[in-house]
Amino acid sequence: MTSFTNKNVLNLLKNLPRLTISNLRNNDGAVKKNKRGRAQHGGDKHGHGNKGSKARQNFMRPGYETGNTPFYMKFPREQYYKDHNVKRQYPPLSLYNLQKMIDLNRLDITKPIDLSALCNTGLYNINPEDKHFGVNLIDEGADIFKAKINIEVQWANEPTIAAIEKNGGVITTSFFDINSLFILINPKKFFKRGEAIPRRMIPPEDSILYYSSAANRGYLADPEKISWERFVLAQKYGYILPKIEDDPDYEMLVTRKDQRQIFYGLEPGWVVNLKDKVILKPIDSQLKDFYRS
Amino acid sequence: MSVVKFKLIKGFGCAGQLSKVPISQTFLKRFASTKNEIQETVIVTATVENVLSDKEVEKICNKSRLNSGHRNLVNGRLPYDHPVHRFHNTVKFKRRMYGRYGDASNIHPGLAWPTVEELNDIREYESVAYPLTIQEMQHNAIKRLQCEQQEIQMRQQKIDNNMKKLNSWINEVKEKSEKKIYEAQKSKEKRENLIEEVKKHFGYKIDPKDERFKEMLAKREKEEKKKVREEKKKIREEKLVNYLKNNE
Repeated sequence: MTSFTNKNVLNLLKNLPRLTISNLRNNDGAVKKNKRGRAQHGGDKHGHGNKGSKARQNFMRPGYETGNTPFYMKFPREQYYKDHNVKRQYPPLSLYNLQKMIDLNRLDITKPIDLSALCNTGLYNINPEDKHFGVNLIDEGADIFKAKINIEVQWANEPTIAAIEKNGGVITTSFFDINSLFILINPKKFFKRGEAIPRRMIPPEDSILYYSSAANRGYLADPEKISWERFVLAQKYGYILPKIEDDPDYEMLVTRKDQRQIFYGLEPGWVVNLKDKVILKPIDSQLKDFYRS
Repeated sequence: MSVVKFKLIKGFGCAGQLSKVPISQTFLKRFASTKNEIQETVIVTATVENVLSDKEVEKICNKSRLNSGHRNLVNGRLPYDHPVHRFHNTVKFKRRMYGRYGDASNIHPGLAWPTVEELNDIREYESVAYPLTIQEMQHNAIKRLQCEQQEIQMRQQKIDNNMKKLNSWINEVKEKSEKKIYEAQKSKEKRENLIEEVKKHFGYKIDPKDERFKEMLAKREKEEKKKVREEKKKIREEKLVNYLKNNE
């Protein structure tokens, strides 16, 4: 066994250089120098040959065959994504999330729910600039959906409609043109512009059948046909259709927007001033006619 | 009458003038010193008559360094009481001011609605952008749908009909190909026979590429053709005779 009684050794240790930052050095090869030397320091072709496209490193775009008809353009094919850039989009909202919003008091179900109310929750938003044309209510969570609501969406499928009507609710699918959408998703911003509320425009021809079909609960459909379709759907999905007429919230449930209306309770042509808390209505007969047409 | 009082403290007032000593040092020196002496102070009172108007006082009190428009905006007031920029005269801006500040903006709310000319413009635009009514569009859409369905149905009908004929077509093709093969075989046999005959004529094995062979072959073929022609002629004559007999 060695002992530390030897003072010489201890002194030696004391005098040896300590491990400090100034004594440290990188491992060999830890620091790589820039390999590309310039001029006389190896600056020549750098492994890229003499002249031409390879020396200039003009990398072609993928699929380009230097003037040949590219392979991907050689054969006719069915374009699955054709016109995807101009098609309308409906960002989805599930019934599960809708129920969650209601349970957490983000939505007031004593009033009709529209896109404006959904955007006001802060949990759902659309951007009309990205060709979003409203909400697509999807049937995820249809089994746990329990709220009785009067909701207006822009797209809904059959199970969703069934889930809402099973609980005694009402659903309407309605179209908003892009200007109306901007107004609807942020009404405060619009009211601050001090303009009269415009009329909602009619849907385009490719979606006219959807919005005038009673099976889709379209806003242009005949109400009698809708009530018949409600009955048919109840038969199909096997539930007893709750009677709206006997409901205490009858008034709320039958509230619907006019096909020219953007907001509930506000007609086109009115001016809402949030500062003075007044609503101004036009008196001029021409204006009245215009906004009524 | 308001009295403005100024309090002067000795020592501090001169601190800024002693430029040779850094100002931080003077403070440090004071903080580090252990002498708790209080320096003498002199209170100077001066009275000034209030000759400034409220507006001027307000101007002095305004230390925000904002311009008036911005200051008004911050305080929720109409930014400008008279137009400053060119765009302040636009209808859009005036509408906006009314929307934001209400009656306080001194703007007639009638500006919110379009004029007769603008109405006409809007109507013209809408007549181009939305040329069809809802009913017309529905009618068109239904018609187009029906057309598409009819096209599909017609094609399916055509396919059904063709499928019924498929077996007979397959048989036809098979027969045709069989016939072709049969005829090819027949002509081959015929030619072989011809070559055989030519060989017999010479009595020894002769190369088919030989000139004499070729000549002989051509002669034979010519004879054969003649034979066929004569046969045909015979048949024609017989027919003619029969025809004449029948007519008599």
